[in-house]
Amino acid sequence: MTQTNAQRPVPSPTPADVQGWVVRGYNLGHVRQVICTIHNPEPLRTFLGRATNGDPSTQQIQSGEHWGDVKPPSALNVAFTYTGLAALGVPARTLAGFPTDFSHGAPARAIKIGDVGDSAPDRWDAGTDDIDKVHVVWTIHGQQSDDIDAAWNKLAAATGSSMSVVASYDGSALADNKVHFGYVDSISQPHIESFERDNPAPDKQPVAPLGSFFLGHDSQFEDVKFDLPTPTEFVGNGTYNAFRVLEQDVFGFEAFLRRAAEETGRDPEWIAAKICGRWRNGNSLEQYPDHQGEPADPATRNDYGYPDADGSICPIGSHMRRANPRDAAIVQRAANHTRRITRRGMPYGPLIAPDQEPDDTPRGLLGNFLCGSLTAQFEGVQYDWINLGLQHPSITGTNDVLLGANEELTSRFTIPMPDGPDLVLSGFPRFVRTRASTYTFLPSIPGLRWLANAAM
Amino acid sequence: MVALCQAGTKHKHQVARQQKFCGEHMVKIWDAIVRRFTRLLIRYWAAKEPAVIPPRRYSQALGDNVQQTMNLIMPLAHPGPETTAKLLELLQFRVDDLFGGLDVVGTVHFARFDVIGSNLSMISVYDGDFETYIRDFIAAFGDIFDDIMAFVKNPPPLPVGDNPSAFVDWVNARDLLQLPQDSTELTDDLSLLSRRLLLLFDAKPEVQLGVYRSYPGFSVAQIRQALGLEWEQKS
Repeated sequence: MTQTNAQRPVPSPTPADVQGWVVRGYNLGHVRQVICTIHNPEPLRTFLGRATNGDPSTQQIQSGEHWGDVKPPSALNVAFTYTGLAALGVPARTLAGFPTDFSHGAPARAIKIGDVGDSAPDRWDAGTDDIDKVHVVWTIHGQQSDDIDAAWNKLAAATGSSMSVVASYDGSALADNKVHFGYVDSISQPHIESFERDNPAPDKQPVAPLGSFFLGHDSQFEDVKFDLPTPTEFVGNGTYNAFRVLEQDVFGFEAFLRRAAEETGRDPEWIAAKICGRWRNGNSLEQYPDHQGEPADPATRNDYGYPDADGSICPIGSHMRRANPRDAAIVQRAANHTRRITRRGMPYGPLIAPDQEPDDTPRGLLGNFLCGSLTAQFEGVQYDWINLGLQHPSITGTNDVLLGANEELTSRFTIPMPDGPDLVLSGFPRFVRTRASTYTFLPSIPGLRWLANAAM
Repeated sequence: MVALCQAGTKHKHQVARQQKFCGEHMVKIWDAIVRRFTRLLIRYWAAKEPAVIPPRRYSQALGDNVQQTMNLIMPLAHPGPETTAKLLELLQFRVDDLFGGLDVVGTVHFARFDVIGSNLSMISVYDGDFETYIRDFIAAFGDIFDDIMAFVKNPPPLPVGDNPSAFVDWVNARDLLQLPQDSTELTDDLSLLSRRLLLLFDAKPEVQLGVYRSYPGFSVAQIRQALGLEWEQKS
């Protein structure tokens, strides 16, 4: 019989043990995410050793320890795909213990999560659908883009020809932490057990157990730990990430808001709020049901639930309520809090000026969805909540307006009204196209040291 | 003369019977040769080009992703009346936990355990994703599966709650083959479809051949809501 997790205890992680990105947002204004192919593992393993040995002459992989009052110019993190771990020389017996979602990789899961049509792998950016090339994703956050250049140049010099770049993406925060669709983002994040709350905006949801983000601990499901390959010192306290490059059809979305407003006689901002579940200034519909008001105090704006069972305040099919149903009644009766993911996103592409004529400049989001199980958390949200709408009978068979795999012929979104018949919006296309998607594993800091030093 | 005629007639009948007898035998022999040849041909093809088991199907049509079927066939370690009696005792003893767990999963239309031949089967109709369904029932009553696994040949890593992905893979391997709706998912070259199918059924001989749905596209919760039954339980 296969050895079980119970025989391999994993120590509870301290902030110094984990990649910092998992437990806190850095609030550095810029990011670069670089997908690389590994050609020669030895120089890369040497670099990983230097980047985790505490010697400041090499930029260290950023841990969860807080840097205090002085922000560093940049913060470096790293994640590997399954084929990347194989290219590094990780033994077959270790690879065999990883879950199927991760080992099969993002292209194989595309249809399941709605990456079809223009979002299908064969339409992704060149090379990003080739699991034999997509090995490692470097993520560098920086105060300025020059800081990122400096960090990347040092990394590239240190690793030399052991890697080549498949694709590289630069993102920068927009004013007020907005995304290109105009909504304030990053308001709600799970609070992970034994770590400081990542977000100053508390909510009513339970603290996320360690195992829902770090392998080797009790998960959010009773008596369940996610599969833990051996050796523990490599895999324990590691985290999975779905890194996705999501192009947003901003002009198409704004045109749809105008059309829907005309059809319903409502304000476009009201339509935008009903679609998202929040006003574009970040205020929730539950707290501001009729008008968006001034931006609420960050300390209280996330502290709400969904008492409106009929969705007459916040539509049941709205983006926020689909992705995180909080305390709402749902079909999967134990799942209200079990699919939470930590989201690290940064917009890419230039901000659109008011009344700007449509252009073809790519705009979107570098989205990262961190979790302890890609199937149980990221795909659980993406497959049957964002798409399909299985959580409530009134939305089953419909997709999320913002993120869903919609087609004009079949799309529909229902806005329940407190008095009178529902408003139904239809005929809208897909507004977000997937340009690239990877499933990666972020080893803990000790796990990276194991990758550097283990005899493989 | 009459006797001769009668003898001739009898002879003709005998000859006809013998011819028929020989003909039937020839046909049977020929069929046996064809079957033997076909088996050898499949063996040759399989050695040359192993079958590719198609991945679980996800439909882009959302209505197709409810009322999915699972036909989990688990060979028993020691099939027989004693094992069947123990399984019955186990399931009856835990029936409240089992049914309560299925209620909590919330997406299950029907589920039943059967002993068929030397196998224990769990046959169910559920909404949504297969992996989520299996993971949900691990969370809801994984300990019951731990107990059931004591009777099953080649069980998965236990407890299932510590190895959920491995258990999903184990169940997936023992679920009846579900054919893609579109045969082009098996091959781009339709002239090779027969060969692909034969190789597929050779590699995975237990197959779900077809399913009828009287009310396609409706989830458990939609049906319960339409009937005025409770479908939710507020957390």
